[in-house]
Amino acid sequence: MKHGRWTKPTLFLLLAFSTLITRGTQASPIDQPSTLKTEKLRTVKVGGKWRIAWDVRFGTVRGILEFRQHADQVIGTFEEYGKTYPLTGTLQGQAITFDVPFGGPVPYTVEFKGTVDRKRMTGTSGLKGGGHVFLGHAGEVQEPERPWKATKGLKRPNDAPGKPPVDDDD
Amino acid sequence: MGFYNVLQGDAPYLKSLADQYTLLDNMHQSVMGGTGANHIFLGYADAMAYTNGAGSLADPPLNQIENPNPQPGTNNYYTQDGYGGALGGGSYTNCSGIGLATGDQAAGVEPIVTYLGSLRINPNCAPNAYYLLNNYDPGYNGDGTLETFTPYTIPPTNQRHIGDVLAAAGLTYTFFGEQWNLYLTDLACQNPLDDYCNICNVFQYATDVMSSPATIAAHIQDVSGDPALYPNAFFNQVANGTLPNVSIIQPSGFVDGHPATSKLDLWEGFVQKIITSVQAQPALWNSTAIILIFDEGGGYYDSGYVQPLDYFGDGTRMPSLIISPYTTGGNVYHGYADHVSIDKFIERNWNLPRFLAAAATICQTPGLSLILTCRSTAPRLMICLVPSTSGGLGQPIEERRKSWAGPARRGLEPAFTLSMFHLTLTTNYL
Repeated sequence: MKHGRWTKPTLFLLLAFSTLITRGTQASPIDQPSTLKTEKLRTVKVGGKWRIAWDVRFGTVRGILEFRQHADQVIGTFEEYGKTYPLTGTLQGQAITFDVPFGGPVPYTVEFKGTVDRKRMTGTSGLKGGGHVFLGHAGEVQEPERPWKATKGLKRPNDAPGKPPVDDDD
Repeated sequence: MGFYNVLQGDAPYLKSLADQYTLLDNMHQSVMGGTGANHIFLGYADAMAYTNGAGSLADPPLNQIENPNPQPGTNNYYTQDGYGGALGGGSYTNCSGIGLATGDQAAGVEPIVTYLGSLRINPNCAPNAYYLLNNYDPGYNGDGTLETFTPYTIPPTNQRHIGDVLAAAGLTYTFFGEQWNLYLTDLACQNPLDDYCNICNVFQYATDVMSSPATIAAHIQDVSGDPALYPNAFFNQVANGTLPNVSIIQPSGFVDGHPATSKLDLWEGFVQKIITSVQAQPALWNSTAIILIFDEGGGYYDSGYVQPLDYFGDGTRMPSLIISPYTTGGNVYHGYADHVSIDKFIERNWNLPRFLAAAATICQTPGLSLILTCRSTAPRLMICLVPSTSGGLGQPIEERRKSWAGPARRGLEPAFTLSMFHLTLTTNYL
């Protein structure tokens, strides 16, 4: 019985404690959004120049991306083969999306979507707004997603192998 | 892939052409390979060999040599093939001598050569040559610069092509590629709306055409364009009466009729516009033969008999049409033919010297001359390349075997073969 007398309050305390714990646990979902919100706001920085390799129908084109970042917005340029095109886009956490309107006799806008991982980006691209995309013949790039990747900084052709790229962070 | 039954209303315009002109029901692609390889046969009457870009044979990178031997544990998954994978790609083959090629470099060669030997057929493989079996980008971009966008690019070639033979005789030729002008502003084809077909342009591989802006402009043009800016585009030349002796016309991927990326009726529309524009010029129409061909079957196997001609082919059967006042309406021509027959017809039509004496024996058959009753002055030729067909037109072919006339091309004389010529639309999905 003596043992039983200790048991009741102990159980009560345990119950009260566990209730607190449970409430605490239940409280965390309430807190969680603010935690996530904090993470979402932790938008990566992409400002500066990036070397891009973009798989298109006849092979890989290489160019230079230059981003200027304002919070979760980016503007900048896409330069390839002596021509420069404007770009605009957004960042959300590590995700980046930007559009490049290419000119020419048949203008088109390509939407690039990707993920930023420190000094690398990888992603896919497509005709803005969807529509016909010719997949080409065997031997040509047939992935409809037209993959791309970019590396932070500019490495000049004469740079020694292994030398880190020139980082030109804003 | 697609299937078209003209007896139930499919392909109505092509059906009307077959009723009015001549249908070939024993035409074949030249290679058991893709669009590029088959266009190369049309332009060069032979396969194209890998070179150093300056005319000398060379060995391609090891990881680009075809190895059809199955990988262990797979259901015939090639060891090296195509355009990538762990071991690279594989689209070149050296079939010149089993004793010369060793290891992976000879993979898959011996069974074919042995089979051809049992038939006493020369494989037609030059010593130490690695031939392209499928689709690689031409060595040149459209502006004459070297193509460097992909490793799957065959170096520039000095192989003699049908244009050289024509030019030597003072005759003219042009490849009209739809969207050529757009492509010149978009050499890598990064514009998803740019469907120009570079591997179809038989002259884009050739150094003698691509080495100067003047020769490029002389032999490659767009199909259409503002007359003020592009007076030499095909339709403008039709209107002006300035077409060359031989025109090869290639649709873009939008209208090439390929079932995967286009529709056959779009290609019918493309063809109809060409034919009606020529017919609207009586003098031109009366001196023209238009040949519609498909570059290859697009993977849609056709059960028609395929002659073993050499290491590369023949390829599978595909439909073809000849539209001309020189043809007899409603004919179905059963003579055996393939793309090279068109080159043969060009030779015969203009009494040209033998094409490619060193490389190949082109079909020794009358070919198109059986179909086209040429008058004293040779007609212009237009070859309209259609992309891979996928299936033919559903025409009955019961009589095909009756027309079988034995081995045709290379080495063996006989038979009838076809000759064709161009107005071309091409597409491929192999």
